Amino acid sequence: MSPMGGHPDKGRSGVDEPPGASTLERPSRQLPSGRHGLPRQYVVDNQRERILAAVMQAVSASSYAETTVGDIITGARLSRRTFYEHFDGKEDCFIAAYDAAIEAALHTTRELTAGGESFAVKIRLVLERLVENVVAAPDFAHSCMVEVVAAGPWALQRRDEAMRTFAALLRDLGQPETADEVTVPPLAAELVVGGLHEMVSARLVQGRADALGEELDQMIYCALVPFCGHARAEALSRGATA
Amino acid sequence: MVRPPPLLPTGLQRRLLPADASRRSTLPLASEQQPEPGSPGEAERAALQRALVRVLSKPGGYHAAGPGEIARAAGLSPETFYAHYRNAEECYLATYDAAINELRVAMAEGAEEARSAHGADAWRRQLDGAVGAMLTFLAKWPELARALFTEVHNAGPAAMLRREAMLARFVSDIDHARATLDNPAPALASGVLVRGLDQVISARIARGMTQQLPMMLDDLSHYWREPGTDD
Repeated sequence: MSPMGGHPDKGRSGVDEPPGASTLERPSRQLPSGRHGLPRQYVVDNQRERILAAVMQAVSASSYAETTVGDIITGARLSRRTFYEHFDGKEDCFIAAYDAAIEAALHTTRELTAGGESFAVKIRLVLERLVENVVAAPDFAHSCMVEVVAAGPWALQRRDEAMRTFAALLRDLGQPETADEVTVPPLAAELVVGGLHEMVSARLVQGRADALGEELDQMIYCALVPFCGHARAEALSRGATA
Repeated sequence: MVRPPPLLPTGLQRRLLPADASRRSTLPLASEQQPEPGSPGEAERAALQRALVRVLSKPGGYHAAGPGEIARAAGLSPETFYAHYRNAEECYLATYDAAINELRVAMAEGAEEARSAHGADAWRRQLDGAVGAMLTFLAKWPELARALFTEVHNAGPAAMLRREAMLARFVSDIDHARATLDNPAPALASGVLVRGLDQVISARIARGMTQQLPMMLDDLSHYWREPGTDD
């Protein structure tokens, strides 16, 4: 599960989600050892997914800096040799797990915003799911949203790309809401997405993820305001499902 | 003529001024001139802080900035370094505080200019002025920008606490300026603004686009401006 991917209750079904969304939740899905007659590709995919789940668990349990390849292979119950058949090292492995989490989050966001609801309702659905998932699994969210900053320049670049992808999604959703002749520039959408991401990160660092539930309406306001202006953003962000 | 009392007793420009702004640093980090030293110790500290900023802009960043490197870049001995700072972290923290103060002075000046031009209740213009001044400051001093925005993440937990305190202070400055003007935006809006700006700016610095920051003001200001108006 990622901070955005899946659902805290339904995620485990894994039916309508991409591989990263459902498998990352499971600490381990070890195949029986010995001759099991499974196709080679299946075994390889399964190993890879176990490693991705293990790296996120190890980072959640301590920090990126303190996590070692030893911790990852212990968690995945695989040999060091198998690990290096899949990844160059800890950084490569963490980035693959981060990519899977972002992929799942994007998938969920697209799914939640595919219907005919209004912009404000779609924003509520997406942010509500984000908050639910962060509150349900704060350690995992901490790895994806806070620890990623400590995981070197490649991870930072991935994070930067993810922010811009979500900003583009927000802009696509919000643009039809704006008055004629008004265009919200990509940078303003990037500011909103980056700001909301960092507000959630700050609550995780403070150990106050629970507070996010009460801040949901305000988060929705912040996402709407560049498109709708103050008065409408305030009216549309208030209370239960608008 | 008696000047009318300011409409904004806690206006953005005043909130932004550091507590000791009256005796503005005699040894600014953001200056090409080698400043007149107040005392030999002060001159050495200034030289070490400037050297640290230069060292931080090299590929290894903070991880490569040991006391030896900093002293060498300042043209001083390691002994002189240790006479002022116990380690690189202490030197970084002093540099961070000094640079943030200089940034705040520049932002306060930007807000004050906007206040003179557009009036005391034009808070969005004052915010334009303050943020614009910040972007100009960073573009003019790209090494300082990197030291403040990207290397802070590598400089240890104490530096991260300073960063958190700096962000919180900017948030409360904007909240106060808004509150005096009856601006009804919810509490979280200022936090999203400050942290969002930090993200956009840090990403540009990491991509080597620091010089382009001032051109981004107009696009960024859509977050605090009413859509389709000049306000």
